[in-house]
Amino acid sequence: MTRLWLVTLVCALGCSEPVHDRLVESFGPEATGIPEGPLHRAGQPCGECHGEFGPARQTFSLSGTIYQNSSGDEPELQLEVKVIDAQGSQRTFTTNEVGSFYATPAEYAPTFPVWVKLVRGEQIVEMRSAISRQTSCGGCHGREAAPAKVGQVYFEMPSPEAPP
Amino acid sequence: MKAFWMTVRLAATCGLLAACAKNTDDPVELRTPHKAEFSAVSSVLEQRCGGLDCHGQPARNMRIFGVYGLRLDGRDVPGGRDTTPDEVEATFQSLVTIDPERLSQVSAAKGEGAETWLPLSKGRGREAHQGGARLNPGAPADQCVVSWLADKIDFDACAGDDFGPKPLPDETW
Repeated sequence: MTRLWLVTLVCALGCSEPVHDRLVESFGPEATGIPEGPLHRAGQPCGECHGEFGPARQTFSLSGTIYQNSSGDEPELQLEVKVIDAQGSQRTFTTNEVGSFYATPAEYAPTFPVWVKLVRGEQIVEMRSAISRQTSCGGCHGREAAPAKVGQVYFEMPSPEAPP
Repeated sequence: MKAFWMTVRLAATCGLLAACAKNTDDPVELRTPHKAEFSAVSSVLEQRCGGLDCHGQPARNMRIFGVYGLRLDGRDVPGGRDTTPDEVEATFQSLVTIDPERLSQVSAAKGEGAETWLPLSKGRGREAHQGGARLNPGAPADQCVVSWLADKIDFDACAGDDFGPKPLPDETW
């Protein structure tokens, strides 16, 4: 019995992931007025908290937030996010009221790499590179593009006054 | 007494040097496959291995630079302009520092034992690799790398690598 407690204690102390913990801390507190749930923390890398190290209880196998344009200010609502994995298995998700989508492993457990495209009617925006293992768009995409970071995922509709 | 301690120090120094010398292998001169032909290999690796969530990260030992991932120039962003010659060079430099002794042996043996070189071994999923098997033995991408290691690069294999979504029969993408 003593040994079991010792193992539990060692695991509890040793199983924390300091780099991950610091990353989660960097996301800051919840925004005022938006409770935890499908609408919270839009644009953040969902899979970091909803992954193997938590702290969220529910893990996500794929997740992200899509914006209307590169500024990343306005979410793209009710947009189809189509994915195909290495086995050829396809799924379609739809962005919610804050432009986010997510899937739990029970709903979708892709075999990486995964390819993705955004679809609204006839208009399609396809991501050029494959997703190799990242479970959230925000893991590679962010507000500011940099040599190792892509800007926000966006689906820009053509302006009505733009020439054909 | 002073002479005694001098002798002890000298003996200790000699012992230390001897111990170090004993543990030092002869240096191996790094031998690499041709750099001039590497851009074809780089193109394959960029797509298959160089995403931002894999080897397109600055924290990796094996870094792959290019349009699909990590950029070398601070003004470039992923998905921007095409891979530059400097990025191909940087990828080459990074790649040949992985398991360099084995690479030298493989290169000297004109590709023999290529499968034992760590990047290929991991890429084929033969040993622990977070990304799993990304190079199927005999497939064009694998052939591209293997032929480069043998200094007989198969440009057709490199160009023929078809990395992309493969829908199931009767389905489209």
